[in-house]
Amino acid sequence: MLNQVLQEIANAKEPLSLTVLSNKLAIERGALEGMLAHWVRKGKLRDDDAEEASACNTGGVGSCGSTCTGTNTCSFVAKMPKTYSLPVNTKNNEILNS
Amino acid sequence: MSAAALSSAKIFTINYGGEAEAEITRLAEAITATPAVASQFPARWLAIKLLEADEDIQTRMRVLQGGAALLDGVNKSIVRLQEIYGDDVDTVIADRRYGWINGLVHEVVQRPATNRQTVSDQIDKVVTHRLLGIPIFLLAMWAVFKMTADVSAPYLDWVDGVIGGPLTNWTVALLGLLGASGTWVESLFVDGIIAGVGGVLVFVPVLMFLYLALAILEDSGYMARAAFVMDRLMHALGLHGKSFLPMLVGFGCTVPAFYATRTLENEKDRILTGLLVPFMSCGARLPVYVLFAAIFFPQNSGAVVFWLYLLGIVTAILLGIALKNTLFKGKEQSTFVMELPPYRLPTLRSIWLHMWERTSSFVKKAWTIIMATSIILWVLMAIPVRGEGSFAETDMNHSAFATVNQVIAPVFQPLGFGNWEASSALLTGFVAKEVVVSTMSQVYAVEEAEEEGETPTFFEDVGGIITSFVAATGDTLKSLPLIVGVNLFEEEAEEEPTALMSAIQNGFEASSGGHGALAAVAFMVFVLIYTPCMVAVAAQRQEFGMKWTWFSIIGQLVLAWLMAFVVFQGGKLLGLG
Repeated sequence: MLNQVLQEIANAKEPLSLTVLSNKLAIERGALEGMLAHWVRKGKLRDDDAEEASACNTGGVGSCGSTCTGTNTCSFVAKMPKTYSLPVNTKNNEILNS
Repeated sequence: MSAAALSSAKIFTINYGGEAEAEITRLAEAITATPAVASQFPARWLAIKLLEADEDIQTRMRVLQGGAALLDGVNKSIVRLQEIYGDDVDTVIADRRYGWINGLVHEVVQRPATNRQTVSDQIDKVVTHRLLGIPIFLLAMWAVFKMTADVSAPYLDWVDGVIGGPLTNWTVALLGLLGASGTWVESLFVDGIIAGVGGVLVFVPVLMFLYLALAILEDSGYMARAAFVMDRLMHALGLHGKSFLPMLVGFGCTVPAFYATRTLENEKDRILTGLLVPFMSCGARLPVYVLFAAIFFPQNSGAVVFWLYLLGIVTAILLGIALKNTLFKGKEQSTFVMELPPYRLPTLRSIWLHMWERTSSFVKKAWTIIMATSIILWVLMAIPVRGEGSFAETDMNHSAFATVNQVIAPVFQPLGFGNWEASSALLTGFVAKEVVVSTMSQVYAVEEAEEEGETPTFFEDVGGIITSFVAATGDTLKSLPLIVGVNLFEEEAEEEPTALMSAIQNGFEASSGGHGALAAVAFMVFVLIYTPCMVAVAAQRQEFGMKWTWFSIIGQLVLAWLMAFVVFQGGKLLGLG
């Protein structure tokens, strides 16, 4: 079942929503979220939210003028929906065999 | 209940399969035979945790007597099971667990056919439909910009009235008390700071309504669907599906949009998206569009703003396709899964907080960057370079500022706005896009005709501010149906444009040879496409390096010039404007 989830994402021709994936695989949505979290821990999926955490929190030269101390407080970034993606250079046959 | 008692009690267990169960049983027996460990944890539970390589449990095991030996045995079990299953043991165990859960849910949970899908799912069937999704998104954008342009107008007029009236009067009166009346100090405050900063603050209501509309769309859950629909389109066009998410951020501000490209792991995709993000018109450019739309297209200002934003999106997509097939040729895009939050009714508090957080950054910028720029501009406009004037008493056309801009103005002649006033606004727009408006307020400075009668007292001014605010609030509520084209206002005589609006209109008519409206459109297109502000450029350099930053700056300037040229010259050929 776990591998089915990963295979379905790898084979998809377009972006998927959690609902579509849940219906396609006949898996409860809550269970599906747990499965995705499992693959993120294993490094087979990327949690883009975690990557965003470093965005803007650089103390760098840029500032849009708002009081930004990181993604969780940025009023512009905070509303982006959560996404999971396959890591770069992941080929179809690598997903299940590595 | 103690660990021993738990172990011996009848506990329901999940069957993890023949080979895994054999290893679990072997390990459980070894655990039971190790008193120091068995007294701490239930044997079967610990065996499973160890096979899952739970780091916390492993750490706790190492300090127990006999724990190290058990861990050795666990490692051997893991190796054996990995050879059998060809996969990580924790994955196998998790897979069996989820399979059992799923099976149980299917057996015991009964949902009536009508309830299998939530309300959110049913709405999503329409909102994320392959054919309907994008038209619905465009409709939502239309409503946002109609609201921004039309509904904010009463408050915009109120702020303009307060700044141009009581605030200016009080400043002049205060300076008079300090003996600065009629001096360059008064000019600095009135023609520099109030004209410059005030010219931008007038648009605070516009930004508030824009962010109000966006907050409603975000808090309701729709914005995630918009991103999903557009991502699907981007993917279909060969661009990375996740590119639209940073672009969506760019509608507020380009700076965090650059940083948001970090969600794209592939460096090529990230750089390409970074090149496209500036075409998403940020909130700071909105005052320019609203001002020019109000001057040249007063009956259709909302539509003008909508089409400009749409042009930015279309330009980004077309440029993205072109770059994807040339400089950024790469492998087929991988897909992704997006979590769409359930729809919900936005709360007033949440909407207000999000609206205020974003608007306050605009106001904060007004009191810092824009004020500093306004002062510098005033100084440059006060320094005489030609003619007979002295400091702060020179003809503006003979000032240092005008002289510099008269050199670059001819570049914009083919675009219909080859006067130094317009080119100066574009130049200072590099500091911050709002400065385009504040510069226009300063360079087109005209004195409003003085109203006859007594100067109102302080308390009369305060009373006037309050009553006009109440009236503006009433007009704003009456403006809400304008979003759907219903006009509740009585037919009134057309409002006379302000002196500033007339000056801008006359300036563009003169520079374009009588095609002022067309030149205005070309100007707005130039503002849409050209280089973002210096803070955004600094962020771009930080994220993508000098090479790509220069590529972007030069590319955007060239593209802006070409597009504005096509608009103006093409429009003239077609007999438009």
